[in-house]
Amino acid sequence: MQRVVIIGGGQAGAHGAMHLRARGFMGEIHLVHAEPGLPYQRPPLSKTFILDESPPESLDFRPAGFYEKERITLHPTKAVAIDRARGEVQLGDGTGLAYDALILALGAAPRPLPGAPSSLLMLRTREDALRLRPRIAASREVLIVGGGFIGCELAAALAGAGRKVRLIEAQDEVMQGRVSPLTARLLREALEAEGVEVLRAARIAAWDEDGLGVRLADGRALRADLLLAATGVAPETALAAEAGLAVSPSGIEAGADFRILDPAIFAVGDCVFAHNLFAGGPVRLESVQHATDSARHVAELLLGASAPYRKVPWFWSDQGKRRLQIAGLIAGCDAFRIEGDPGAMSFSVYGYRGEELRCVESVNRPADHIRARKALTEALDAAS
Amino acid sequence: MSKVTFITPEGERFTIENVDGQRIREIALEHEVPGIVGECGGNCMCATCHVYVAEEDLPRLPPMSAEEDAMLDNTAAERRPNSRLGCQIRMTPELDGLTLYVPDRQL
Repeated sequence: MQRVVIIGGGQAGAHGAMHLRARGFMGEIHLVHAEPGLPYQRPPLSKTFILDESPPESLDFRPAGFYEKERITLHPTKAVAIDRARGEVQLGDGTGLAYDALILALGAAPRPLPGAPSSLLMLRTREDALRLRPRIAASREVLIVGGGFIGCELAAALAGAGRKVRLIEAQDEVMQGRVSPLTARLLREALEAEGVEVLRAARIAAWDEDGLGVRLADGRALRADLLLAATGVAPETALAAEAGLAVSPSGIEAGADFRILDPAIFAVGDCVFAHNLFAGGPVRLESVQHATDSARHVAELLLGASAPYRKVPWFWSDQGKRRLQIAGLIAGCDAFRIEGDPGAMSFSVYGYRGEELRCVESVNRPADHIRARKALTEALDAAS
Repeated sequence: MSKVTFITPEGERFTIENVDGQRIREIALEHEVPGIVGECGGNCMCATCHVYVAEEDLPRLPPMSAEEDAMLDNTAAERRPNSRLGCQIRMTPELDGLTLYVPDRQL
């Protein structure tokens, strides 16, 4: 193995490159990273970075010198095509980059919203956040469309910074399907107690042309001096599809080891739809944990390891003073049990599928979270 | 201005000066101290910026939060009474001269 090319310098791509080198890979590592600046971490964008004045570099995973010292070659350009017959990636600067192994860490991008104006503001990248900062600073009233994790994080952060926030959610409850109904309700009530007006089952019928307002299906017109769309992301699959690889709306299809049909190509992180031992089926996961662990797994495979990927998913979401930590997966849970003190915003919800513990959601209960990670890992190890 | 010293398992020393206001994790990564991973980005979620604090420096350290305490139960290298997470300690003049030992593994 002479040369590994990784497309995408997000959490998965950057940590995959670092891990490959840290574990002693001697060949060339090329990281294609199209965004401005060095590879950086995204989680703070929706929590603190949009509101503070920290410099963009404060999000960098590593300083420039690290990549030089570790001989990780950064290509600040887009990958425009994969030529599988030649084993080469075509770059946006017109050059070709041959690979012995190719890791697709393409990530995900905001889902396009039908009928929304092009001026609509979204938050996915560091550049988006930098553009938003002055808009947020100048705003008093904010409309957030989408009550998922990012929408709830933004709502809490902006309300905490004194903005009047209205959150528009199309479903009956925020974070629906992502957390248990109980946790969703408690976190939503906490947002409301902080002054966030949460409009549920609120479907958007039309967007104002200036990107600052919407009309709901029930006829209500809502406007603010800032509107942010946080309506979820879709996996980046175009590059893989154009190269003839199997993709679906769920992501780039891969086996349990993140291998795809072409034996020299792997897909990791947010873009991959892969069989997952813990889930018991194929899933696409959007998280720092999955991005990091899937990329490291592929790095280990390239170095000759053969152990199966066996990681328990974990996740976190900071919503103002509330830290939600999740171990496991909520899908398939049919019974829930709560422990702790919801009134004091310190509780854990245990989700079961039959008798089996599958998921633990902890709010301001870090010890429960760590115990849950360990218990779920032990159970998975025992079962497989 | 304060300084901090990292000592790797191989005994290599990294002394970094002028670090007031920065967190231990950031200082280590910025100065390429080997053995600090920090995969979650300094959010107290992964325990891969684990350090051992020199015994004589322990009384000077700020107390740990419940979150840090919980996460330290998840370190790859053994947790010891002097274990801390680099993302949770910010350098101040009171910590000038702090000595930290990097564990032999973080994963």
